[in-house]
This record gives sequence, C-alpha cells and structure tokens, in this order.
Amino acid sequence: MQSLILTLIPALALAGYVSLGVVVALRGQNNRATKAFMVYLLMMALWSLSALLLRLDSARTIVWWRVVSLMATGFLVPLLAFVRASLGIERPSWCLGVTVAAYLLIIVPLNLQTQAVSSVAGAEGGLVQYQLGPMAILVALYWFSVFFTIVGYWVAAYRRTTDLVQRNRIRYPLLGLVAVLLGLLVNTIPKWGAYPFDHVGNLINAALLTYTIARYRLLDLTVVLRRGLAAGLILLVVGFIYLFSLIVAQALVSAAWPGILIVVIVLTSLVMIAAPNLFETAQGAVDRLFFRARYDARRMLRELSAAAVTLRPLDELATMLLTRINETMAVSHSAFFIRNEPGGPLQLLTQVGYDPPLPAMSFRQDHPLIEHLSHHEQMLSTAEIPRLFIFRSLWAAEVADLERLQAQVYVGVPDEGGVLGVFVLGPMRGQATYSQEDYHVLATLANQTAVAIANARLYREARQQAQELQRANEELRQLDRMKDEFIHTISHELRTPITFLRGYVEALLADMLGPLNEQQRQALQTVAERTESVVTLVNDVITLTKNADAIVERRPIDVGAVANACVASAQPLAAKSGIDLTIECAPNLPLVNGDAQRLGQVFDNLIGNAIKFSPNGGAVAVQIQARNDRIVVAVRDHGIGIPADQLERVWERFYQVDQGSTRRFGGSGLGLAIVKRIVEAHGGRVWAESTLGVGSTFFFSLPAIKRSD
Amino acid sequence: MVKASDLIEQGRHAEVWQQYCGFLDLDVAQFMKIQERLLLEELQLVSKSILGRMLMGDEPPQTVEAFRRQVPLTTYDDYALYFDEQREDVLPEKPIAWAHSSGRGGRYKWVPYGPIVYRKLGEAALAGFLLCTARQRGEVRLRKRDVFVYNTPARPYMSAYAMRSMSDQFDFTLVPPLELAESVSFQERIELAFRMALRQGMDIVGSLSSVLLRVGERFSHGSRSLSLSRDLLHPGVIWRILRGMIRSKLQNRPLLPRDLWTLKGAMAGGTDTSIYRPQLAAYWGVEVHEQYGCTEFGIMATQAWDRRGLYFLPDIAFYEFIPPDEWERSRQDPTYQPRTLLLSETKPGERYEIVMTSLHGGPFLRYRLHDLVQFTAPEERDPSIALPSFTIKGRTMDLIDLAGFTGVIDEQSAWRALAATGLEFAEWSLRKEVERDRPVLHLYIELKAPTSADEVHHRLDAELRISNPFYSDIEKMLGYNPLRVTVLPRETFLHYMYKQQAAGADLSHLKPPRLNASDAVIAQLKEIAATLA
Repeated sequence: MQSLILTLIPALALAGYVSLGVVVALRGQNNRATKAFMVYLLMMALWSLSALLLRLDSARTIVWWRVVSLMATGFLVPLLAFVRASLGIERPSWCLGVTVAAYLLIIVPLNLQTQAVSSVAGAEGGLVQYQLGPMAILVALYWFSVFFTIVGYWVAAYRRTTDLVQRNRIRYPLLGLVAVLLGLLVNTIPKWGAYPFDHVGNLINAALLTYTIARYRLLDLTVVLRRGLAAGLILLVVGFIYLFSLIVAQALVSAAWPGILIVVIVLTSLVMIAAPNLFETAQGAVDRLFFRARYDARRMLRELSAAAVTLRPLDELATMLLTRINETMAVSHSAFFIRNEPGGPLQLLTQVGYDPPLPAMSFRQDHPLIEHLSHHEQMLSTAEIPRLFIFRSLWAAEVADLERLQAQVYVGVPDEGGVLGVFVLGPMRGQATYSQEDYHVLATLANQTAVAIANARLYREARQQAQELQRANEELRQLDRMKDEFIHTISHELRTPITFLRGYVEALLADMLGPLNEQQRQALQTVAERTESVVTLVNDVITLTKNADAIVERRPIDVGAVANACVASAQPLAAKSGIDLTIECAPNLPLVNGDAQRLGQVFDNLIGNAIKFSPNGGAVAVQIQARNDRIVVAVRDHGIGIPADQLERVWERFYQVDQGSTRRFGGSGLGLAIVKRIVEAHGGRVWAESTLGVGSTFFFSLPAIKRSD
Repeated sequence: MVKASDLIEQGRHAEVWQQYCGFLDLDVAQFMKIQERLLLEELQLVSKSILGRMLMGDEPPQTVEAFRRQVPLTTYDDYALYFDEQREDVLPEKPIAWAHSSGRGGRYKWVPYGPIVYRKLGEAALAGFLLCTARQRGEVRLRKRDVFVYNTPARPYMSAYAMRSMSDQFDFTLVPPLELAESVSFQERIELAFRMALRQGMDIVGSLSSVLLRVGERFSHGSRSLSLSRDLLHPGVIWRILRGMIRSKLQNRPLLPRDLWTLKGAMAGGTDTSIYRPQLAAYWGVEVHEQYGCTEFGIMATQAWDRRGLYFLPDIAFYEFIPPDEWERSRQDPTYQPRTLLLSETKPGERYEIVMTSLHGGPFLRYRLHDLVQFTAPEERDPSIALPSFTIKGRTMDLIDLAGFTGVIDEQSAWRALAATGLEFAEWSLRKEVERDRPVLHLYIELKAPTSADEVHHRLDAELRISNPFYSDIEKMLGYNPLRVTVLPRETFLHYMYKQQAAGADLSHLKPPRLNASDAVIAQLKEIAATLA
C-alpha cells in the first residue's frame, strides 16, 4: 500500500503537469510568458517523472535522483522568467541572465557530482535514502534567493493591484509555490526525508495551477481544460471497464489475446449501447464536481427559460430574473434597463440588491455602452471600458452614473440591429470573478430574455387592444341603449298627440263636428292616411326599441292560421297590383309558442314587401313547413333581387338596398328590422336568399312546441 | 484610478496602449461620433454660463449643425474682457488652474482649466510619450520611474500643467524635479537638467528643438566644452562619460549625446523641428516626436510611432477647418464669417485654418487659432491608421504677403530655404518692408561664420526659387528682385535677449519673432548691431 501511494503521488503530479503542458501548448499564446510557463511545466513534469522512475527503476536510482535534484533546483529559473514576463518586469535586466548562468555554471555541476548530495540509495518500501553533500548549503542558498525573488515579485504585484482577477492569478500560483517549498523543507528533516513530501507539494502546486487556469483564466484555457477533464473521466471509466474485462477474460479465455480483444470490444459496445450519453453525463459530473457555478447556472437557465416563456408583466419578469441571477451566481447587486420606445433611451426598469437604491436613470440611445453592446459584443466587462476609446465620449454625468451602478458586467439583450435591454451585474461575492462560462450563461439568458420581452410586449399590446375594444364596444352599447331609450321616449310622447289627432280627424270625417264639404273631406282623408302612417312608424319604432319580453306575449298559436289570415287581408292589395299571392301550408303543423299579433305583423311586413317589390303581373308565394322541430316560413317574390353582399344588411334598421328605392317604393326602411326583432324575440331566426333579376325569398324559422310539451 | 505606470508594472501593456493610444485604431466615423457626442455635452454645460449665453444667446443650439450655423467664430478678444481679470463667475465650472500664454502683441492670454480639461492635458501628454517611445503599433516601452529630462517653462504655462497632470497618471523620475525646475530660470533649468541627467541617466528628453540642437552642436564641436565641476566627479557620471567616449571613439567621431544616453524617445517642440529632424536624430540617437498643442486647448494632436504626420485626439476639442478660399476671404474682410468643414470633410493635400471648440466644459467656442494645417496624402501615413494625418504649416498671421501674393513665404519655408543654403546662422528674422514704395522681403540674419550679405542674398534667393513656386514668379511679376539681406554682427540676438530679460519680458518674447517683427523690434536689433559693429 505504502509503495502504491509513493508511486501514485508523483504519477498524479506528472499527469497534472503533462495535461497542463498539453493544454498550454494547444491554446497558449505565442509570447514570452507562455513560453517560459511551458518550460516550467516541462521541468516540473520531468521532476515528477524522474521521481516516479526513482521508485520503479531501482537499478538506476542515482541517475533518476540526479534528474530529480536538477529539476527541483532548476524549475525556478523558467518560473522566474514567467513571472517577470507576465508582470512586465524588465529591470534589473541582468537578473534572469545571472540566475540562468548560476544554475548552469554552479548548480548543475554541483548536482552532477557528489557535492550537493553525497549518496543516494533505495530503501525498504520503495523509499529513497540520501546524504547531503558539503556544497548543499550553496545549492540551498541559490534556491532560496531565486525563490524569494519570485515571491517578492508576486507579493509586490499583488499589493499594487486592486484588480481581483489579477490578484487571484497571483494568489494561487504563489500558494502552489509555497506548497512546493514546504514539501522540500519537510524532506530535509532526516526522519521524513525518505518520504515524497516534495511530490505532495508538487501535486498541490499542479492542482492550484489547474484551478487558477480554470477559474481565473491564467492563460485563458478554461474550455480546453473542461473538455480535457471530461475526457479524462471517460478514460478512467473505460480503463476501469477494461481492467475488469481483462480479469474476466483471463478467467474465461485463459488470457488468450484474441479472447481479451473480443471481450473488450463486446464490453465497450455494451457500454456504448447502455450509455449513449456517456460524454454528456461525464460532462455533467465534471461540472458538478469542478465547475459548480456552471452546473447551477445550467439549472438556472432551464428554470429561467421556463419562466421567460410565461406571460407576465415586464417588471415582474425582470425582477425575477435578477433575483435568480443574484442567487445563483452570487452577484451582490444587479439592475435591468429597458427601451420603451424605438430610438428612445434605455430606462432603469428594476434593480435588486442596491443599497441605497438607484435613482431613476437612463442610457441615451447614442451612449457608448449601448453602441458597443449593439454593434460589437453582447457583453462588456467594466474592466474593458478604459481600453475602449469610444468610451472617451462619455459625458461627465454618464461617468457618474456608471460609477453609481458599480457594475462588473453589462449584458445586452439583443434586438433587431441593437439592444432592447441591458443587464447590469455587480461583482460576485467572495472576490470571485465572472468566468468564460458565466459569460456564456449570461449570453444565453439575455437571448431568452429578448424572447420573453417580446412575448410580454405582445401580450401587453394584445391585452391593451382587447381592453380598448371592449371599452369601445361598451361605449357603443351604452350609446345604443341611450339612443333606444331616447327614441322610445320620443315615440311614446308622439303617440299621445297623434292619438288625439287621429281621434279628431275620425270625428271630423264622421261629421260628428259638423258637415264637411268634399274638398275638406278629401283633405282630411289625406291627413287621416298620413296620420295612420305616422302611427305605424311610431309603433314600429317602439317595437324595435322594446326588449324581447315586452314585445311578445307567448301562448300556443297556429302559424298557418295567422299566415292565412294575413294572406287573405293582403289579397286586395295584391290584386290591385295584378300579383298572384298564394299560400302553401303543410298539413299538421305543430303549434308555436308566440304572439299571434306580432307574428301577423311579421307576415304583413314580408308579404307587403314582396308585393311592393314585385312587378305587375308577378307572383308572391308564402310557404310554411315543419322542419326539425321548427316551423320554417318562406315568402318568395319575383322582384328585382338583392345583391349577395347586401343580403345580410337588409335586416338593419333604415337600410335600403338602393337608396333610390325609398323614393320608388316608399316605406320607412324598418319593416325587415321589425321582422327580425319579432322573430328573434320568439327565439327564431331570419335569413334571405336572392338572385338579381330573378327574385328573393325571405325566410324565418320559429321553434315549434314539441308534441310531448 | 490605477496609474498607467502601475498597469505597465503589472504587465498590462495592451490596456495602457488602448487607453491612451487607442484613438489611432478609430476610423473617421468613430472619431466623428466621439467629437459630436462630446460637443453636445459641451453645449449643455456651457449654455448655462454667462459666457455661453453671451456667445450662443438664450436659446443654445441643440445639434452640431445648429451650433455651426448659429455660433460665430471667436478669437481671444471675445473672451479677454472676462479672462484678463480671471473672472470665474462667467464660466461653466470653477477652474482648478489658470494658465497663460502670450499673444503676439506681448499681451497675456489667460485660460481657465477645469478638472477634466486638466486631466486630459496629462492624458494627451502621456499618449505622446507612449507613442514617442514606441517603434511599432502596440509597443509600450515606457516603464515606471523612467527618467524624463525636460526644460519646459514653469507654471502658469500650459506645458508645466501638462507635466503635473501627467505625473498624476504616470510615475516618471522627473529631472529636474518639478519644484526645483520651477524655482530656476529657463536657462538654468536647461543646464540643471542635463547636468542631473549625467548622473541619473535619461530615458526620454523633452525640449524645444533649438535647445536639443544647441546641446547636440556643443557636443559635436568638442566635448571639451563640458565644464568640470564637482558633479562630474560622481562615479556614475565618470562611468557614463567614459562609456560615451569609448563609444564615440569606436565610431571615430566626436562625443554626442547619444553616446552618453540611450534614449527611448525624444519629444521636441517648435516650428523648426521638421527642419532639424535628421540632425537631431544624429545627435540624440532617436527620431524626435512632435505634438501639437496650445494653451487654450492643451495638446490636441500627436505623431504616431512612425513619427510622420500628426493625428488629432478626438476628446480634446471639437475641430473645424476653414478651407483656403474662405480664410483668404476672411483675411481680406475681417467681418466675413467663413464656412467650415469637419474633419471627415477635409481633403488630403489641402491647407486649412483650424477652428476649435473646447470640450468638457472648457470655455472656447469656435475659436480661431490662426494655425494652418495641411492634410497629408494617405500614402504618406501608416496604412494601418484610418485617421487623416496632417502637418503644421504655420500661422495665417505669419504669412508674408508680398504684392498681393498670399502666403508667399511662411516661417517653415523660409527656414527650410535658409537651412538649405548651408550657411551656419545663429538667428534670423524676416519681414516685409516698403522700399521706395515698393514691397521687399528683408532678412535680418546673424551668422556664425563671416559671410557677406551678397553671398547670403545669392544663396537664399537661389534656394527660395527652388523651394517656393510663388517666389520664383515674383521677380517676373514685380520687375525687380524683392529680397534684401542685412547681416547682423555676432551676438546681436543674444544681446537683444539680455535686454529683453532685463526689461522683464516674458519667455516667449525674449527673442524677436522670425516673421513680421515689428518696427520697434527691428529698430532695437539695428541699435544693438550698431553698438556691436
């Protein structure tokens, strides 16, 4: 077990450094800092490799030991170069040259001879025993001077900068270096010297460097690292399955190679079939383990996507989004700005976590921030602002506003050719900074917010329009009611004097008030006829304005009888116009629950109209049938017909198909409206069919009383 | 705010470059957007002040177009009533400093600096320093505590404020220190600066071209002129001089400033800079870098890393340009309001008179500086820069107008022609005079080696004919040669300077103007010459 651990520690450190080396080689920039960092990783990897071989290859203990000691003293040289390059330190210019020269001219020869370490030997359990040589103190002196130079650079840079990202980029590698130092120091204690504490320090260093790269974009390698770890996890699982299958294969096929191959292929196929989403699953696991914030962010995105598509007011939606972002990403405060009209400013809609709360503020349409988010990048870190020259056009008041927002990141909510909103996010708690992954999450969120805003706006507009329509409808109905009431009142008021008028005219015509000469009689006859017309008109108007219950008095009636009576009374008029008026009434018609007088009015109006619009010598037919528990009445004429597009409108009050028809045929234009009103008051319906130049048929149907009723 | 020097120390070079020199990445449209936006802010700020109401009326313009239509062009005279008394109540905001420059008549021009204008002074200066030391785009060679040797005038001159503002943004080792520099005279400051630089080294030098030239010449004419003093006995100084001597001996030439100091950059000022550029490069080992500025607006333009044309900074002032026919018309009729163009409307090769408006609450609106600029052809500038570049062509008032030929001679062309004669001269002054009712061009020159006036006439006339097409035609037009030369005895100009110093004259009036000196100045020169003869 001890041997396994002693082997595993440098092996893991080696794996860590090699992985980092690959990542840096793939994605690192071609600059001095990256090159120095590569050399550093290479030397650390060599150190771990030689330590591993020291345990595995006991025949060459001394060789591997020399490599170990060369690397342990030498790794500081490229690290020093990396630190100087990354911090832009150039003075003193001789510093690096002297360090390299001292290493090559003094430390390497001392290490290669027995001056630094006098003897090395393998011990029990894979341990290594060594004795320090007479010049070990010189090596230590060199090591510590370089070490403290590096630490000094980092500490000075750390103290100088207030940028949290920069601080973290220094903090973790510095801690890693301290871990390496502690490991080496513990190794100098005779009792523990044989144990690989130096490699424990190395392992910690590798882990901290990995963390710095992943979390603080030391070399902006997060994506590669994330993918690398996911692939590594799969490798581990497949490796385990492979080993397992090996054992099984050994047992089953007596360790024959073709057999092992078959078993591996079968097992791998089974794994592929059983877990088609293996990579995604592994990625999720990696995210949960190492990229917790991203994992949570994924969940947040899912939740927010669901919330975003629901229809809710904009301010409520924005507040909900901000609250979730603040909770999930540990953001201290956030705000949301929105454009309320095209070309207008973006106004503060809502804010979460500001203390004291932000006052009302807005971004002008030509604000550099809005310009940038519209035309360049969807996201902008506050640290970028001084680097973008276009922000030199900020007004002093706008600079003050941006300072008041205390933002770390601005995220634009995209719109056609611009932004319709901006998320303003403050710093993350615990001095953490927004990672590349956070930016992806926020970009996705902003895009979804755009959809949500569009939905919310459409919903709001539709609701507003519906409300407006309802209001307009209500107003119209109110006006209609008022008009009906007015007409009703006027009609009633007219009826009393007309009744008097008619009474006196009738009395005069009956010579009750004295004899009349022929001229007077004719004049009075005309007055009597016109008065009758006015009475009919007033009665029609009152009928139209009354509610349904007031129109009809319901009792079982025989529609056929009513129709026959009406046809009979219209025969003189028809005969006068040379029109053949006929009625065809089906036998055994069911009764109708209705008002005989009102239905008579319906028949009078329809027959009267048919006669009026029929040419001399034409025919008008009235047909009454029972159809599906309804009585259907048709009044057919052979008149001029009605255009199809006006068939529906003939039932409207005062509507005339042809404005000239009023003059030609007379009438108030209320007849069909009254028909419709009375029929509908009976629970029936009216309709018409017509062919121009052939004639028209007016129908109405009434619910019949069922036989069992 | 983090100082640029600290950012550099942290390795954030790209940030510093973008922050200060990022304007060179802009295209003309972006440049104009910054200009127009800041102008709208300026209109808001200024419209509330007494000065703003005086210049723009009670209904200030709301757009750039309305501003250019509504507001008349101004000169210092329009502000003098308030500024001569340093009246702060008329300004949009309380200034933190008043700078002065001198008008041509010897009258001070007082200029208020608000906090943002003051900061911008430093930003623009620092942009110049970054570019002055850069050899290519994005190269940041400035480092914290770089030694900057300078001899710019003391407060309340603009350059002194620019130095102070720049020091707020970058930790230079200033040689001499600011307080010390302001406590000594100009001449003493120059000597002190170079003496201290022997000990402390020099990364950047900033001075008038004439001073840099003079220092270079002193070296080239024999390093023995270095007077021995206790300062020179410092081991650092001895090592520097020894090293310099070895370098010069190895190249078999006299000791030059470049042997003593390995400069990252040299910042030079003055209209003669372009003439002495090759000579200065030979003396100092670097090509000098130029900026364009004035007291009223600070530093408005700077050269890029190629050190050819100048580029306007977009956030210093709002720039307008009077086309040649318009400024000519306004020269003839001072009441005429010339039409202006914007930077985006200018054409390469054309000369324009520049009109500027302050930004960030500064007080000057559509202010005529009377400076002439000429935009360079695109092929004459770095192809990676999209902005138009220009060179300074002098002042509209500094043109000698002979017999109706406008701009026959300007200071630069006169200087260029004089330099091409091969004559070694100490100083000169050229003006138009009337001789028997005929206009003539009269040169007053002090030579270093004895040469006859006829010889000077002969050589200069020849050079002017070659370099100036107007001049070459003028004899045919006038029917006589218009050039007159008076050779003044050695040290005439020096004595003039002493006299002026004794009379308490301002720094900029110690020497006679090179063009169009007044009768009084010429009379004084003649009087001194008579005593020295």
